[in-house]
Amino acid sequence: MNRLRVEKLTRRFDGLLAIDDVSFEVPPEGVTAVIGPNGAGKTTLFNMISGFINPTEGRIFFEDEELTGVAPERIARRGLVRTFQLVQLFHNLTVLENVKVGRHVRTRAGLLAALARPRWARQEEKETERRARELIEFVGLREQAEVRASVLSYGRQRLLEIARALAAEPRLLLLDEPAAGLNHDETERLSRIIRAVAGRGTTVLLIEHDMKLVMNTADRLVVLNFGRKIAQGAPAEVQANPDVIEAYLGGVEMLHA
Amino acid sequence: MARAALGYLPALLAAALVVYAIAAGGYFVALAGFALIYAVFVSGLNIFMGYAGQASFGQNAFAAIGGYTSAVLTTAYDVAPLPALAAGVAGAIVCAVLIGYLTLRLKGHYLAMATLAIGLIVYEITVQWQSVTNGYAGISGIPPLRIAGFEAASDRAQLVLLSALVALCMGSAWLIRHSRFGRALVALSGSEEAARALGIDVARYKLAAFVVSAVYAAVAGSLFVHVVGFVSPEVFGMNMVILGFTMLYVGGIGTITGPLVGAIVINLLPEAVRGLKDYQDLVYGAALILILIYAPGGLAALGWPKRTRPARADAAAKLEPASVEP
Repeated sequence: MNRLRVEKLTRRFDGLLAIDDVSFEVPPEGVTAVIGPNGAGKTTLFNMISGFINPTEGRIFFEDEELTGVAPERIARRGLVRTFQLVQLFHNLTVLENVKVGRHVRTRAGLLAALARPRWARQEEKETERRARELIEFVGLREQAEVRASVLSYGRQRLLEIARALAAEPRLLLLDEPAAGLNHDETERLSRIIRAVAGRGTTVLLIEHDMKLVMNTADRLVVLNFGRKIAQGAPAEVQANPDVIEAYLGGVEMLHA
Repeated sequence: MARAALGYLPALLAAALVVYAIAAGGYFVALAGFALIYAVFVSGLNIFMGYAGQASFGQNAFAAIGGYTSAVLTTAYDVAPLPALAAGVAGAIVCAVLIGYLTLRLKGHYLAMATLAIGLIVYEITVQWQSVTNGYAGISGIPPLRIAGFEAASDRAQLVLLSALVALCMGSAWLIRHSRFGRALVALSGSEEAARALGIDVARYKLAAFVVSAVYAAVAGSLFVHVVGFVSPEVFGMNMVILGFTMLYVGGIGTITGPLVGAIVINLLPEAVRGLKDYQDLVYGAALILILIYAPGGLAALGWPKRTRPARADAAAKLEPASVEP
């Protein structure tokens, strides 16, 4: 069984074909990356998989269950969680609280439990606290736990967003350009974290622009250009593919940069 | 240490005011009573605006529902004050669910306008529905609160009762803020998209926050009529919304004790400047502006380290129409 299967996916925006008849599969193991020049349709693809926009045509399956047309919050409950290209933190919450929100789909205390604080809710909160602190430790933000998220540096905000997504214990984690805006050291650290996440059994699907991160991190690639899939396979194969070289080096990148 | 001490300051301030009012009696009792009632109203507003980051200019509608339900049931149907208050709260819940369901899909300015309209509509109803509300003349002879045999007949007894209720409301606000439910509200105020991506049903949580804030408003409205003994449409007019907003921002939007601090300061400030006669409005206005400039997170957030202080601009920024996914 594949973790994710995308079948003949197409998305049109007022005549513009952002994604054109794209099909691929994501196996449960390791890290899969979707790469392509700017404007290739990567983010549109992610927005469809995570339910934020509906495809014009085609279908999406998560562990053989159809996801097409399902609302984002329901998709998250099924075990597919995403991050955003422009970090979207909860800036009025502390770092620790941000990660606690990530536990939302794994917990159930509502308004009445908040007011009455029954034993099970206190237990649940304790467990949330423990897990959140573990994840903060995992991404190296322990010192910042009680700080408001908005005062973190950009690189740390990215790490926090990943920790928050992991708190939901997703079976598939979608990372939208996680290295954007990171410096060299931060990118290397991120690469190690992504490998560690995959090592723990979480499937990772990432969109990336930074070729170095992709080559160091991904087990297999899907290459998009102008909304179409032009190649897929192991990093070394893809790198040698003439169409890919054309797309990246043939001036397309310059045009769209 | 200093910070922990500052955290208790609002409660101490409130306690001092209540004790002084009980000792001094007279006008001060009424003043303290209004401050406490407004603290309840603004606490509710804070849950919807401060935590969930949504704008409502129509909270006076729910205060009116609570107040008029209490007034009508106790005077025309001989219902005891406490069940009347409960009925008002129930009415406010039903209305908030219906109104919220229809309006909460709107964002920013549009939600503000829709809620403003609700406030105006309820005001018109209290004016026009003469047979029940007695129009502009209002309803008088509303009995004081009585809880479990303790009748708050004297002004001072009422103050004690109000203090207990305010403590209950602030405690509930704290419990809400420090729970999965409250975190989800603050989360969606930061990013609705990220909240949805983490499985939070944003529409449901906004509605829940709206209903909770309506409950606080209805309780405040009902308390008001039982304390004053009289109600008319003007009591729950637009000025209630403006006062509530001022208290929320001066006290500290998004904080637990901000609503109490704001309610006390805004109630006492006019008294403090009364001696200035012709200049009193001017000084009152200047004082408000100075507070907003030099205590941007509100008075309750003074002394917090910057990196943990809630951002005041965030709530205001939410009034901008949200950007649409490209």
